[in-house]
Amino acid sequence: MLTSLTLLAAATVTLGLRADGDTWDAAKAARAVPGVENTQSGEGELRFDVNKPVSMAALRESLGLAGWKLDEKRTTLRAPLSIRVDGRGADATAILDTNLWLLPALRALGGEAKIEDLDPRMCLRIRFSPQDGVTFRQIRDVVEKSKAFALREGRAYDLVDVSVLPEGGPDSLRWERLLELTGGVKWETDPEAAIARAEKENRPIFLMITSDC
Amino acid sequence: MRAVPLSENDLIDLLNLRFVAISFDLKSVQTNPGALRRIEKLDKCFSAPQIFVAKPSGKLLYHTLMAGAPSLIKTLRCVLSKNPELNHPSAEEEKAPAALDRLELALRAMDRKLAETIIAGIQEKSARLQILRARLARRLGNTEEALQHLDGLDGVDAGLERVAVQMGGRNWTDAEAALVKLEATPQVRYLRGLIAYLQRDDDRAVDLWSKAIAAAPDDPWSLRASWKMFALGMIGDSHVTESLR
Repeated sequence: MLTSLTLLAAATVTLGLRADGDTWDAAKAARAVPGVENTQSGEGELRFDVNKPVSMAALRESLGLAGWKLDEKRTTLRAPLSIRVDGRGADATAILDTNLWLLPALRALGGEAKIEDLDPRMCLRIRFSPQDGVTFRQIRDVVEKSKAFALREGRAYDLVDVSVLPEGGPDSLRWERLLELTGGVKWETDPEAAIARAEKENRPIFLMITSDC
Repeated sequence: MRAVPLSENDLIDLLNLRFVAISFDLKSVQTNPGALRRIEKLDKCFSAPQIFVAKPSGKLLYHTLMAGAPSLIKTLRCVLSKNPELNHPSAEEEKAPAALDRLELALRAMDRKLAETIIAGIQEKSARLQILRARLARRLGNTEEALQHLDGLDGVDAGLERVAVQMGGRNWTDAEAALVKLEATPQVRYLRGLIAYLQRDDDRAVDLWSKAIAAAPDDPWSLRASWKMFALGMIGDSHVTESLR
């Protein structure tokens, strides 16, 4: 029985095996994870497509049940990724502050990192698009090392899961998009007019800078 | 930690009634800041999303990279409290002729003092007044008082307020019991899933939200349910998630 494997993930995921062996069992285990489809096994390698977010935790569990062990050092992931961290119940501001440490650390790996969502249970989702492959261990190390800075401030967070996202899949579902969807906020899109209105009505300005890039 | 229920609608009301809300793209800010140039520290904005709250003069009052609705509401209320000269009824509020309409708008703007002043001037007793008084008590964290105001009231509005009061008090069983009494509208279905979600019962939340989406795919409450499912790492109905892009 093989005990480890390398996972190379993108829109198409490739499992590279550390040793020789039949990948049929791994393919079957991977297919049991929602979002995995079109598995193809080859010479020490297993490929599959991702048609919706694939949770690494779920993949690890499924592979584990089939007798496989995920080798984090050799598990290479490619963009786009969704990283979930748990703020351990800290308040929202604390979580946001800690991301001053976490986001730059992720970007230092090469690629763009941005906050996707802060859910009401204080779990934070970060969209990370590494330029090249990044190993699962690298992500875990970045979380742990950046956490040291947050701990100095009396805060902390833990890595919950990493999901591999299908390219071109739902994106930018950040909460400000929800605000737009709920139809609610009467956004001013002309800065000149908005500032003039704020002056005339003597109201505070709420400016949201967004980006789709 | 058990977080308070989501309050996006509260945030929307607060922004519309007491702020001038501007949404602008990062690239536009960097290349052509225009009138926004006056806002302090905006020139150091290199990433998005970011939020700036400033006086009309441009003096920065608050800045964050990202925030959830509950913490943002708290911050915006704090900004208004510390700058009373900027906190005054909107044109919409001033135009409302009926006291109850003005009261409702004051509550939506989270202006407690104004709401209390309006209540003091209302003579007539009505179900709507009781509901609005319950809302004020809920906002102040007085669950028992809020429930007393709703005592004996029927109807959808009173029922939804009763659910909100129980959710605000984190009395999940009572909130679910109050929901059961209401007709299964998209909002009610969404709230059922939300209560499960806030109790960390993700499987039940996803199950309830899936049913909510199936029942009314195009309803805004279903969009919200789909968005929440996405936050859990589970994609909702593809038709709905498509329309979220």
